[in-house]
Amino acid sequence: MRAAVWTLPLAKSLDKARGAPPREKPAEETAARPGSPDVLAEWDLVKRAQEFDAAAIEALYQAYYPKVYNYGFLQMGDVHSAEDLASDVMLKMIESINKYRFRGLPFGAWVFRIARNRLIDLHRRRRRRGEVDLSETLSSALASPQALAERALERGQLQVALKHLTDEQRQVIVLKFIEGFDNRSVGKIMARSEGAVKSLQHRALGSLRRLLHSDGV
Amino acid sequence: MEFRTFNSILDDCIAALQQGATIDDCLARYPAHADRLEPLLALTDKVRRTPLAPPRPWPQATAWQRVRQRATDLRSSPQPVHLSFGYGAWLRPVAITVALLLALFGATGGTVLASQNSLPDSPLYRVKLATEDVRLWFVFDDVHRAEILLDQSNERMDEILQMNRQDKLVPSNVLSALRSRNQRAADILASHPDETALKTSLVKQAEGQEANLILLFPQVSESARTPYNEALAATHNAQLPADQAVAGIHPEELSDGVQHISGIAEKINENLWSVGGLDVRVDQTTIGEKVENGTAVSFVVGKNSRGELRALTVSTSPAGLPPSGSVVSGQVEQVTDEGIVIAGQLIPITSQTFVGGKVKKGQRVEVKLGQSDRGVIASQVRPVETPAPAEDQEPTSQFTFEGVIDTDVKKPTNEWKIGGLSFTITPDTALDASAGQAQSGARVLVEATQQGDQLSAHKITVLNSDSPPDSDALIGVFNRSRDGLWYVAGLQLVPPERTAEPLQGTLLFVDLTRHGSDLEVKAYTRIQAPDDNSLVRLDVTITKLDGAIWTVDFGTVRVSSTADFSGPEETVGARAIVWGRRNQNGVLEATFARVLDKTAVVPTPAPASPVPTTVPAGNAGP
Repeated sequence: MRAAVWTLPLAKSLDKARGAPPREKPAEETAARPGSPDVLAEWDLVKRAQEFDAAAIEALYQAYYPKVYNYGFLQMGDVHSAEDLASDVMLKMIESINKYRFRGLPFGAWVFRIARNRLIDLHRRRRRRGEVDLSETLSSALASPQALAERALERGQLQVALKHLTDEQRQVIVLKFIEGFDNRSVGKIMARSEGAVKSLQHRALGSLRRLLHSDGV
Repeated sequence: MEFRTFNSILDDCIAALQQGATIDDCLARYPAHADRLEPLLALTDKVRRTPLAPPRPWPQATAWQRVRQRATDLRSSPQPVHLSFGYGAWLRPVAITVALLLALFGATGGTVLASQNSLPDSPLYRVKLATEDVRLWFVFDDVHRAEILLDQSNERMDEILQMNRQDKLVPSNVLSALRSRNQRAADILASHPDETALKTSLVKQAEGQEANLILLFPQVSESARTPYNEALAATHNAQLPADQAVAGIHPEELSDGVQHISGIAEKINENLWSVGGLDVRVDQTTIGEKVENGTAVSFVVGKNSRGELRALTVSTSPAGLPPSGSVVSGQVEQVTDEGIVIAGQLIPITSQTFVGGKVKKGQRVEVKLGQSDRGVIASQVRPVETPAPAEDQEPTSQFTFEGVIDTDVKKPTNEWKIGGLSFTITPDTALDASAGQAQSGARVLVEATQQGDQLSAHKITVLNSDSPPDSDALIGVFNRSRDGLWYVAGLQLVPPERTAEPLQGTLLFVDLTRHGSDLEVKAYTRIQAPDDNSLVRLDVTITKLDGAIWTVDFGTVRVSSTADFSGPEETVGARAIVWGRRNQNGVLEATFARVLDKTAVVPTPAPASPVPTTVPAGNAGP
């Protein structure tokens, strides 16, 4: 006998509370896959952007700014930091676009590689300056009534749970299930092998499930 | 059975869901894993459908202005020309690669292909390495080269571990290849400081490789010692910041071995610390936590030909956690996807577990326990060898001996006299000096092997004990009696008069008194009958006492009045050796227990996180 399909206690009520429709399609269904027509079409767009075609650059910007912003937001839990990250990454993307070489992987894997490098630098600088870990800020903020109300938001619940994962586990969840990359691209972004991504994915899902199921966040 | 196959099954299902399959389709495909798969697949679906917040329009528009302006600037300035050698271009030189290989090795295309799955002991292995080298000739992008080198280094480590699981010694060729790939990747990344993710990956990979190489020390062939030292030094130095790597560990500093030393750190000067009476150099090349005066630390040290010790890594026990390093030895009852079952208890095996050989049902293994966020897990699993002795030879066996150090161990020496016996200190003998300094007069427990006339010490543990100096103790298998003498674990003992000798093969605990060079049996206890494999041995620290129930790192053990008991009275924080078996109620029941310390050695022991899963009744147990 199997348990209920969705057993995460908070999330169940959040669907009703928010009344927010899910995204039209899950991430993976919209993501470009290696070697797929989408990837090839995007490569054409990138080639135009390498010639600094304004329309192509704008198309890439409109496609990737929200993705990188969400990536940063789920990693850092802070709107301003996520905006700074997205802005920096977009600038770096355009400055380095001529270095991009098509190797069968989606252009997004290259963009997120930049984002991941920036994020590591950001964490390192913060640690050096002795700044408080954002995850701690976020967790302690939940003690306030306002934060408790926010906890009723499904997104917030996922975000808080993500903060309790290790950095690599969080990366895999966000890159694979939110941003919709396949194992090879996730491996490329994180500089890990596909086998390591599979293993991380299993551990990350297990940890996330325990966190959400036990309402321990 | 392979461990962790569930990772692939889960990944297959996630991929299938992405292609439009339903969760039920996946569960039907893997019915044996349905219970574990379903909640994880439901979770992936939920995460994918979690609504995301759109970015605020104003900051997005502001950022766009910056990007557009930058694009305009770049458009008006000349762009450098780049060579185009990506994956697509890489395919073109394949024909050249194969042709070169054919020319170099006289190999056919089939040989090249066949070599790709070869291991370091195969004649085709050099073709495999050469293929990889040739491939790199045609990669012109530095960062991509570094990525490939890291993948190749990872593959070398997998080959080493595979050799180890097949009980084969690690040869020099794979160690040299591991070193060269790590070194080349580190050199490339030193000139690309922007590639932080790749550098992080290199450091993580090197960290895991270093830990594995240290554990593999006994499995490295003598002829491969130099490349082993070079590979270990290279993996260690790859983890150091670029400015320190130049002055990293030199292979010569590992020439006399790699040892584990734990104890209380006492500062001698800025870079020199004393642990358990041994001087250890700690500097910026030492990886790990900061050493504080008076704290409990564990070092992995390299030993040079002058007997000097230099710390490669240092760690401290996290507050509130029981000490790691407890050991469970016994027969494997089951091997599952999650771990192994010994005495009815599942011990999880994770990707961090070092498995030192083939592990199968019915085999005796030694499991070193560690802590993870899942609770207690196996950090190391090693099969216990019980080779049959050759005819006309004294049997060779492992034993545990307790006695007092009679040697000045400060002087560089590879022979320690303990309880009147001479023990050889091997290049990887571990020292646990948590309870005091390893010095002349200190009482110690020695885990050793007798081979011919040589007694090799694997681990020496300083005890907190006030037993008389001429009193020794031995745990070992009774071999036989001859000319009025007993032989236990190959050691010659003088038995008490008018005492019936034990059955050959019986595991004994023997209380000994020393008279000159003679070891006289004062009393002995039968721990385990010959051919009885139902008992497990636990080397643990007591973290809680509740009547007959001892809580130890591993879980709980019932030590009732029917169990044979020896040593000081049990106390929380003391270490103990316990033999027991799972009883009908599923409780681990001790048949013999020896407490080693008279007072606590671990300052503030806390109850252990329990091992997360137990095996259902009826499915486990002897």
